Amino acid sequence: MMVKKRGINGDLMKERLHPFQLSILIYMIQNSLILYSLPRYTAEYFGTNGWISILFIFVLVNINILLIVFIYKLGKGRSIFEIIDTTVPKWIMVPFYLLIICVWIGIASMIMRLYIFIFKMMFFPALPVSLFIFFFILLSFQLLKGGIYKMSKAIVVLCAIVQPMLFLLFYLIPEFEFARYTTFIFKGGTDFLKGALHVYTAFLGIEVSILFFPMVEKKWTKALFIGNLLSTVGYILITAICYGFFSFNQILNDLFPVMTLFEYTEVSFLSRAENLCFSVFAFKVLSIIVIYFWGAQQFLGNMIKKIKPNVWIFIILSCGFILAMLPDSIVDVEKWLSWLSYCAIGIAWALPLFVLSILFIQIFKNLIDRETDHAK
Amino acid sequence: MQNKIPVLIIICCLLLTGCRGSKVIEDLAILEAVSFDQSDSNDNPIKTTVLFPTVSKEGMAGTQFLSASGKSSHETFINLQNLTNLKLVGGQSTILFGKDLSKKGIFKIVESLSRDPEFGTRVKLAIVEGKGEELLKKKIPSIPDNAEYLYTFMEKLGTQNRILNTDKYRFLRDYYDDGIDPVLPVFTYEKDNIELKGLGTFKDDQYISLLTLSETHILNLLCGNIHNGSLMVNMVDEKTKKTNQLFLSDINSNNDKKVNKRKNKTVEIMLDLKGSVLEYTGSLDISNEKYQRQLEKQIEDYIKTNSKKLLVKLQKDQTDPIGIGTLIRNRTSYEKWKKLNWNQTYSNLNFKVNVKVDLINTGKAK
Repeated sequence: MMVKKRGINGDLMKERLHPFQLSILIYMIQNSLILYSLPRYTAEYFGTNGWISILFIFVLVNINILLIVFIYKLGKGRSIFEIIDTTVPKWIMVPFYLLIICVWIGIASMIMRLYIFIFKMMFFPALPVSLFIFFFILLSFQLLKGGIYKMSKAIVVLCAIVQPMLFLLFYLIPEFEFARYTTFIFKGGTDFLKGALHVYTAFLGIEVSILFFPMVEKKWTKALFIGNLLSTVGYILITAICYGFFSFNQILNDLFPVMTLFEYTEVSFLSRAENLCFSVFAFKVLSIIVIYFWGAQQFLGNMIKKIKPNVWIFIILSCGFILAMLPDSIVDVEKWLSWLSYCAIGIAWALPLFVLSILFIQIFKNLIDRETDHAK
Repeated sequence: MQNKIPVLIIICCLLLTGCRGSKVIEDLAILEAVSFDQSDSNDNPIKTTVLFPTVSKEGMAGTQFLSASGKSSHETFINLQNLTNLKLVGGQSTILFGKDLSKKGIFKIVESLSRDPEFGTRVKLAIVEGKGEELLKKKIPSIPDNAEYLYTFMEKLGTQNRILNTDKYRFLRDYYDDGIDPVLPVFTYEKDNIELKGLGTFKDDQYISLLTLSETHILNLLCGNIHNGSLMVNMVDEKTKKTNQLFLSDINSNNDKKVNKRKNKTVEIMLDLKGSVLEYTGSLDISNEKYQRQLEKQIEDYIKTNSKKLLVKLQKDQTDPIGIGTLIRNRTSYEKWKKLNWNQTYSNLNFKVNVKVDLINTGKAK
């Protein structure tokens, strides 16, 4: 792909992320592993026609993105570290930074481990887990070493491998019936708040874009919305098809309805396509993991600037490896993942709000300073 | 480039993944058909028979049976494992249920099969009038492999007849749906052949009653739209009191259902049927347009009366393979639907069947 080399104001001739590339990057880094059980979560917590809830969460995520966009606009492209460091002393921020780093490394490891658990359960029960984790870590290392720019280029290629799987859905149309949707909306659900949190986790990953400011072209913000829209369309498409393909109670009783959905596709040259789909999905999982590791690396790099980035990558990946080895069962991983996801949702909202309030303080201060200057 | 070597190592390692947990096909017993029957002993109520293909040293293909009893489906599999030198693995197979077991309920077995990733969602399910074990073991000279025969038989049925297109996914889907009951084809081995006897209707997961083949065809018409179907019509001539046969082929039908809430809950089923006549043994001259209209009327009456009979039978059995429940559910509020005593409502429903038949042609002959 052709990418022009240019910089803001022409001063930095560093390569910057193209908006198109960025849309795909955003699309790929959202935590879609949860998509495999998303129909069940929506059915369980929201009840009948739970897939509509994705639309509401989509609006919430857009507000979250808006916060990030505001910071970029108000901060005039300064990175959040620059913004924070000018007002708040670094040592106050260290515990918060550490918390964010821990949550992000943890969430990446748990997503990786959940993927491996499902993969093992479905297809290769005899394979050792450590081998899988090792490969993920090795690939993450290769991607992280290249920095965000090379990473995003690689992720665009990975996206091209994952996306064709969506066309398999056409083969399910004969079994699809609108009557199974029922006319009831959100009936028989258990806990809307919990459900909203679960659905929100499917959109996580986007909060890392708050660190992209120094690496992007000027008009990049629309890419955030486009990437998020792409994810939402994908989620709604697959979840809505599930509601017409399965009966409501069947969704409730299937751990991974989307897996069963793809399992049912049969083409003359391919049957039980879920095998292929889920294997290819590894690339999407890899993108999610890498972006969280990258985010953690940015924070660490900012805290102690003297140490080389590769050392940080090494430390982060070792932590990730050890964390991923810890859980023993799918229930454990899901429990950990849901807690870490709640924390990540908290970070996704708290961090932009915090930076935004600092920005307001700075702007307010400037105004007062200017007025006092004027008075002199 | 410095990246080349690690990438090369990764690719080499990925190729090695096939070395772990390998499955040599000669050491496997890939299940082609499994049957679950009720056994005679009370301690081990389920008897499982499996059939898998074998290849002798001379290269001759054959099949082998194994039977074992146990308390649950997977316990019988473990017991079966002790009877053979091969490793039993599931495949795209046919699962048969003996009549006695299906009367008691088959959900537990189907559920445990869906826990096992080895059994795909397209596994075919069927009921056997009698014992599934005996159907699998029956020696029929023209059929070398009963399991393969059954599988292709059911695939053919699925393409011909919408309602006979059943597999694990469809069974579970209709079982879990509160507005429809599942159905499964019923096979018999009484005569010299393995033969389709009709359609078994279910209430929840229990086999209730058998619909004959002609009832199955009517049910197929009532369930949904049909493309390229066929129907045998038996008509009684009023004058001679003789039954005449008429074979309708290339049927394309449109099915529309309505619920009339006011008039004591009436469900109206409207059928619009187009087909061509390939056989007629009656006395009318069917090349004449006037008689064709008359014939259309007779076919309409036949479908109407038989549909009514079938619907009454289904109401009596309390099974709803047509999905009338779905129809009513989608026209009531959630609270009302949950409070509804469906069994009672279903038995009290009135049905009205409207049929319109158009004969497109009467075949090649005049």
